[in-house]
Amino acid sequence: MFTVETCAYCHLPISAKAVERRLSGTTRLFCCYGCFLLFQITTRRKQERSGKWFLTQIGIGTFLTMCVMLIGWVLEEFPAHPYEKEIILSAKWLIWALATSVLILIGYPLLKRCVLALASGSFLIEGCIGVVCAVLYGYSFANLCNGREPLYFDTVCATMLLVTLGKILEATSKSIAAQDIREFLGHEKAPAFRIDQDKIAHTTALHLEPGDLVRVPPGYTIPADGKVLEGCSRIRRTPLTGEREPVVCREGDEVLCGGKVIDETLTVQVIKTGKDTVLARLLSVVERSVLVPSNRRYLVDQALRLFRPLILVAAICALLWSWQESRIGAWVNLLSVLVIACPCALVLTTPMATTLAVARAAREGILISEAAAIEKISNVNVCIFDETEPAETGESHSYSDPDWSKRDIYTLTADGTGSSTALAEVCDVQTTTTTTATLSSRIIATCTQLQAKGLRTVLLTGPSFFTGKEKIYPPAIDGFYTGISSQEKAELLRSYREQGYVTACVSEYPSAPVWASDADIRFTIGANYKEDLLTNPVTFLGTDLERLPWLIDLSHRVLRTVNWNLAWSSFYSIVGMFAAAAGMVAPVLAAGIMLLGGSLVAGNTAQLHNYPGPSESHPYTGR
Amino acid sequence: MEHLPSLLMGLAGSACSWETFAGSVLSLSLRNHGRIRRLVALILYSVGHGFTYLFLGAFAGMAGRTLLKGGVLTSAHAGILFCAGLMMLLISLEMMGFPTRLHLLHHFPGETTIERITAHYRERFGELTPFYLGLFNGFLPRPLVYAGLTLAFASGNAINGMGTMAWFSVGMLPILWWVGTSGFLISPTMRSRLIHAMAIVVLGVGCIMVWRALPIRAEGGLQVTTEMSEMIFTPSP
Repeated sequence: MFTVETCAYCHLPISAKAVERRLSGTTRLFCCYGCFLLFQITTRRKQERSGKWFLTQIGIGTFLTMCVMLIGWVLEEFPAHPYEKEIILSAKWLIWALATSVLILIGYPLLKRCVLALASGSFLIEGCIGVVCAVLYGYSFANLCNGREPLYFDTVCATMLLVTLGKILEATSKSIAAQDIREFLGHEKAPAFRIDQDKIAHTTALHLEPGDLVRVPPGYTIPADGKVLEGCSRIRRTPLTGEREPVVCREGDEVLCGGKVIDETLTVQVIKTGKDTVLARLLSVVERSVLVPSNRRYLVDQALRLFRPLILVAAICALLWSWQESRIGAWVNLLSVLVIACPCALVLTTPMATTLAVARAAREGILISEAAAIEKISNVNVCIFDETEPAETGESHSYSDPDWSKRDIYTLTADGTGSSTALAEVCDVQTTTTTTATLSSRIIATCTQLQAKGLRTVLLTGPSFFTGKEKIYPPAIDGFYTGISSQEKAELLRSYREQGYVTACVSEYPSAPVWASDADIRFTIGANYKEDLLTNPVTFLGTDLERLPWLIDLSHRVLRTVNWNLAWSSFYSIVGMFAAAAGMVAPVLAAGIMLLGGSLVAGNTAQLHNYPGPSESHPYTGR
Repeated sequence: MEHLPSLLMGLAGSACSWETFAGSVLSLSLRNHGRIRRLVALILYSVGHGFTYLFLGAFAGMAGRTLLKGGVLTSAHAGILFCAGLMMLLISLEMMGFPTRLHLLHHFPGETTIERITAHYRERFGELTPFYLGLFNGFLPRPLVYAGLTLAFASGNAINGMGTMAWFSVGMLPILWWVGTSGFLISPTMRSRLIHAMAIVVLGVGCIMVWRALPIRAEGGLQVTTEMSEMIFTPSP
């Protein structure tokens, strides 16, 4: 069974290989070496000194490596200049001294990790890189002492530095992805202005307690759930309630943690703080979502289990291949293979993309309780809207929208005994007294958009409404089934699935129809923050249906990004591995390619953070 | 005279890479109270910045020597110069406010990702020492730095490449020190004028480079030399 742990630094799920470390008396798990390094930099104040020391190590290591390479390059120009041999020899000893410092500063953690991994009976590519670097260093030192060539000090330093920087870069990218969620839901660090005996104390949401009075100026987020005691302002709370327009809050109104004040300063009495707030509950849903691995991630993890031994085999083959020709050349090839085949970018791409997508959807008021759902959404080709009947009045109704032209009015006969549902509100209907019902422009617009994306749209209503009389429905809807029972709905769903369609059931909150349990994915529309939000994998806070096509677009984009990244990182790893084994890639170039490859993957994935919202002028982001 | 293009490009580079270093330099200036501490911080920052440029220049020179094979690939050599000149012309047009589709000044490849990642650590390095701040800021991708590196690449020699970028970093010093010592940001109007003036400089250098790289000029006597300055300023016989 697939077990999921999260990284102590980036909080993303850990794939096949975890790095276990005991820090400050606590055992922690990290998803990669970079996260372990960065955890030491960015932890709390008591570890600040060690974090600064680590940064200093990296800084000094970088500077010394640059010096080693610079002197090496300048020495290569020397044959053109009549310099003394003693100067060249002195310069080489200087390079040795600098390279030794780099080895101690940057190589030591790599070697230590290798020893620990070997002690626990596992194989680590970074550790092997450290060992090969140590071998090359020893060889170069022996050559220097005997006045022979070649020297590989620059190769050793640059490779170790670039590998370490590559790890740091990947860990930072992952941390940025996780930070996206924390920024959205990171209310604990939100600034709070507490009123203490007529003075304003500057603090954070974490330090507030029920009963405290806080002032919230315009532009700031409300630090806790509470009640307005003074002031009147509009508050934007899209991610909390799905409401796209700001709501006006006056004295006595309840306000939610995370809402953004727009107009004027409010004085709020804190009622709930910390984990009791609505925002904290949303956080738990979104945070848990990234723990559910998608099929792609599972496949990547399985592939990596095979890929790691393959790297080892390729490295040994490279070593044996060129052993006869040149022993040291064989070690250099081995190092190149290990560096270029390091599968960091492969590990990085899927969790980073899904985490960013979950955070992006959350910013639009869409809660995804399983990151794996994103992959399913991208495959959906039939969208079934359940219970689309309008509100109950006990009479016959006509529903029409005054903005519509005659051509757009689609009528349905109704017997007037339907139940009131949230999706009916989504339909934005207006009640009159005739015997026709009109579908709202919103649902038709949504269906039109879905159809344009190649999806089939089906509307279903229960047996108590629209009893099979005259019905005319727009071309945007591929199927309209009225007056059918739950059993018939289940059969309809099954028939679609048998035809090979991937089905999505869209139902109103809080109902989660039993017949829809067979659907590939279920969306809940019109939820509110007061209820349990984990009934379906995808929950739309608020009633805005426009976000459904947008979510499907987002899922396509995520899949495209993941596929591109997987293809690219597999390509450069495999091709590079063979080229390195053939001695065509120097270790420094291999490390550069690895760093560049990781940067491209991270950069490409990070673009999901800025994925545009459903409309150009988004009320929450202001774009 | 022979390193004047690099010097001018550095000066222009500091004006159009304002966002990259002005914040860092200003924070150093504000963090270090007292004239001597501020001066030391600025010197360390400049040394770190300059060292990175030397390193990059040497690297580009080495790469040029390896790839251009000591002047065998004459057309490639001229082509690189032409590309560098063209790039500078485009940059100068953008500096003057003419939109180009490439958006070299604001959307240079890799800029967003690298800046977003380095932003995580820049402040922490800044706390440690201005030298590291300068060292790492030097790696940030800026269009005119790439243009300078192209010149270093075309020089085909690590030492000459270092020389090119050394003058480039010296060219950056006046504005960098102005911001650092005065302790305030230049007004938007002033900055706009400065950028326009620098755009003319970049345009001039770019025109000379394109002119020198054109085949019609080379026909008469474009000689593949390792000295970039000769490529630009030596008249054809």
